[in-house]
Amino acid sequence: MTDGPPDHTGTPAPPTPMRRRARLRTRRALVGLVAVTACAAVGAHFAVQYVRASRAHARAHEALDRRAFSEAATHTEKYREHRPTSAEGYLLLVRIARRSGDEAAAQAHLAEYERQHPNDPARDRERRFLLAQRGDASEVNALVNEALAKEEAADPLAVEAAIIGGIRLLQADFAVARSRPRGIGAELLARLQRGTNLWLNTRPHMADQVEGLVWRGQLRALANDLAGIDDFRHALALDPNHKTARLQLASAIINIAPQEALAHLEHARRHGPTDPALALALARAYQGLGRPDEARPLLNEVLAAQPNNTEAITELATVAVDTGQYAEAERLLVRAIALAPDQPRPLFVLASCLRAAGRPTEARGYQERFERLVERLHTPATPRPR
Amino acid sequence: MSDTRTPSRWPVRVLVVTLIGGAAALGWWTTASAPTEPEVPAAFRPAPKAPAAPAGPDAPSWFRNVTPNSGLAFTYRTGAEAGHAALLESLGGGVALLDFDGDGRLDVFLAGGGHFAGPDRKQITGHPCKLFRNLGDFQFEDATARVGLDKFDWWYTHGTAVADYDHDGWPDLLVTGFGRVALFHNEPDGTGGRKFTDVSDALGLRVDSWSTSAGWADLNGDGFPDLYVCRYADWSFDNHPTCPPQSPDRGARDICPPSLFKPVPHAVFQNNKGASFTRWAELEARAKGHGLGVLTVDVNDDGRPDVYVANDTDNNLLFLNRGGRFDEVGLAAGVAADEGGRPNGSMGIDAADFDGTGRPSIWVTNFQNELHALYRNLGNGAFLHHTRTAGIGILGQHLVGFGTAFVDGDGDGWEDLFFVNGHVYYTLPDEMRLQRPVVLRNVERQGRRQFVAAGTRGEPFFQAPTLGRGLAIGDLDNDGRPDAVVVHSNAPVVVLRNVASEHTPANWFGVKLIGKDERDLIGTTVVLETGTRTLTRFAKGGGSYLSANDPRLLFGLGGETKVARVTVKWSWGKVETWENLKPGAYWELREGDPTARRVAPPKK
Repeated sequence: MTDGPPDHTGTPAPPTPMRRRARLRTRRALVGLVAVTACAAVGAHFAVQYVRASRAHARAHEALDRRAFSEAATHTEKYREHRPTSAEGYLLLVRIARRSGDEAAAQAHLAEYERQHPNDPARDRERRFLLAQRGDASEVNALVNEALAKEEAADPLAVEAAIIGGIRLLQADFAVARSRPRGIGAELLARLQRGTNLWLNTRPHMADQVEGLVWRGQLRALANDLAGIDDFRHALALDPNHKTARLQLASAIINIAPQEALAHLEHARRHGPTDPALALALARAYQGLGRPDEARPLLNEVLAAQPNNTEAITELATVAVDTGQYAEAERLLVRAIALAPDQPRPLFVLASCLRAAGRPTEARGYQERFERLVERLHTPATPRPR
Repeated sequence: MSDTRTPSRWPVRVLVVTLIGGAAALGWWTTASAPTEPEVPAAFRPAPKAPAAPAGPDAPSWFRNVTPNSGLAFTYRTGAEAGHAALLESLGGGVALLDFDGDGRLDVFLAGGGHFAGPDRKQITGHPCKLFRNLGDFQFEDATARVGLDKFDWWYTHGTAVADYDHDGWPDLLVTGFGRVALFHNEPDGTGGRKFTDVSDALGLRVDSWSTSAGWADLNGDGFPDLYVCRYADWSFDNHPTCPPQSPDRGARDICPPSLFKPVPHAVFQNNKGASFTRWAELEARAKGHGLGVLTVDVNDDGRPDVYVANDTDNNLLFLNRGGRFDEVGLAAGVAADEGGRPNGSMGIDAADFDGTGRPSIWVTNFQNELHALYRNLGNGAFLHHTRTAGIGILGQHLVGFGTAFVDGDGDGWEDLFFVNGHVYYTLPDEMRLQRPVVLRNVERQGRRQFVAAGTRGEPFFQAPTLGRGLAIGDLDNDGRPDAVVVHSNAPVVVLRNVASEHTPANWFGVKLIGKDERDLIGTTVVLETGTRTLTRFAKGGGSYLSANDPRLLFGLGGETKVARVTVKWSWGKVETWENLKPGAYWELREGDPTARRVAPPKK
């Protein structure tokens, strides 16, 4: 590097003081420029990061509002790429998992959230919602009461969690009592129905309307109100791809119009992913309509995916009994009993199977085991409530 | 060319490139991550057609309502107008088909029900029962007064059963209800007619609690019919809790479930050769449950009548007759509960060989949210809950079934099913409370006998929801086709004429059995062979719900034109055969008489 132009001999001339100053200024300017550029680049980087995070956050919320849970999850992941430890990110993770029904994941996210942000009030709210949604009676009651007190100013997430948990609670009671709710249960049912109407009146988005109709249908079904079937039909008309609406409709009409229920189950199977629970429901519908030959391959399919599914094993055994294949039925039922010794049904079906096979003494043994088990479990094998 | 760039310019260029690149990248990123097109809202998508509900076969109905202008106008009353919502009101009434005057035509006896009188409307009082004489051609006249049945101070009645308890050759009448039963002896009126005389007290036949269905059969093998009377629950106005309505907007209270009341042990009577009745304590000790239906029939082909009892919310009972000693084997035989081992709310009963095995399978109508039960008789003392396999699950579980019968409605030789329905609760929406009657046709599918909806076209009766209770099947016009009488709660009785022959002609063969000394026949089995088919029918007592069917046995023969052999396995063990009988008539088969006698049609 030279400081000045070369003279005719090739030796550079010594720089003049003026030149030297100019050169110094240039150097300073260059350094400054580089510094400014670097700062601008860093600033731009952070600005981009900020914009991206904000946008992801907004989109996650927007998707969540539309009940597009997987889309919301994608946006939340993007948000968390930029804000990996933000409380808002954890909140979104918990909320998406909870509202999409993956409560185990919601619980896991909530635990991490609590670890990272132990004093965040939003976390406590989510914890209440999760508890309620899982069917905690006191949280369900508290949330639904709060919501009804605030009416249209109620937090929709609280209403949603209370309704989902309340339905779960009442359905569990129904499974035991086999009758529509009475007493406290009837009061809760009435409040949940009011909560659902509140939801339907305040959440105009179509996805929320569909969900509200499905909830109202379930609550009406619990109240023995056939109008619940209309709710499921309405929900399904709004969103023909709503699997829950279709399956709830099938379930609501299986005892009234079993053939139509079967058609819905067949539709769900044709248009949805392979699902052992759906295959089992469909198999039961076929079996219920006297079509064991169609039930059998479905049950085998369930058992290929879930070899220890005792309900499927027992159902397959029932098909075998009905078609006179007693040895096969016995083999299946012995396995079901080994897998689930506390389930009464395999014992009862095995007693029927052995009786049909001409082995009354052994049948009596299983029948007695069934009766003892039913008595121990206090299941409603004794008087059917009406 | 030399490099003209001066070192002082490159940072500027770097900055410019950085800013431009950054902006471009930002723009690209913004564009690339823009939300995709929103989905078309589902509301605006064409909705797929909902799967259509299965339409019933559009075949003409086998039965036609001929009640109008028949002269048979009667309504069973429950007393609902008092507003008590008493359990008593839920049961309804029955009907008996019996030829009380021996003219060869089945007459119709109807229980009247009751109401609540007195200042507080708690005095349980009966409405009169009625006897309608069959004049032929589906014309009836009220013969109640003529036979003396108008003179009774009727109690709140439910059921009826028919047998010749004293072997005088005439059918006698038992009536059940709240607070008493009565046995009416059919005897000459002194003017060439018949009359009924209450002989209950004289014969020691007393049941002072709440009785429902009853069934006769010679249970101890002495030739005289013994009596099984179902009893229901310990309800009374002293034990009348208020139960909440099913739908709060439809009333303040409703009928209480039977499980709130204790069952009352059933009453079983030994018939002392028509001279008196004695309580059968040994059998009564095990005859428990909220009893609503009873059927006497030989289920295990040992020639003796067994007893099957339908209990509401308790296990059903099967008493196998071991020669006057009885073993209760309901659970062990697989006929006590449903396919999950739960006792059902059972009401109506019948038994028949629906699958051509020669064995009687048992059919039970049950409450809502339960399957009606078809217990298939496997022949080794075992039954299998066969409802779903027989395709009956297609009906769903919304029906509360009462009166029922196996009936070969189309005369093809296969026993079809008929049952009437109607809820017991008041505060349900009408679409749940009132229910249609059901006829199921016995067909073959994939090598199995299954039941499918029979045609109902052209007959409004099968489209109109009602509160069905009693049902009796019998050939009211002696044309070889089974007709029916249906009793409703608080709505008129309906007479249904079988008109299947108008579109499905079929041959038929009728049997009237007569044992020596008018011995009771229940438990007898009749096997008919045509040469290509074998059909089996059973002489049964009780059955249906609170009702009594035609005692004669009918065989639909479809296209078969001859009857090669008829074998009667009398309930006392004797087996006799008759050969080469002509179809198209009722034949009288007398024990010990090798000659079958064609029964002459009734005089016009």
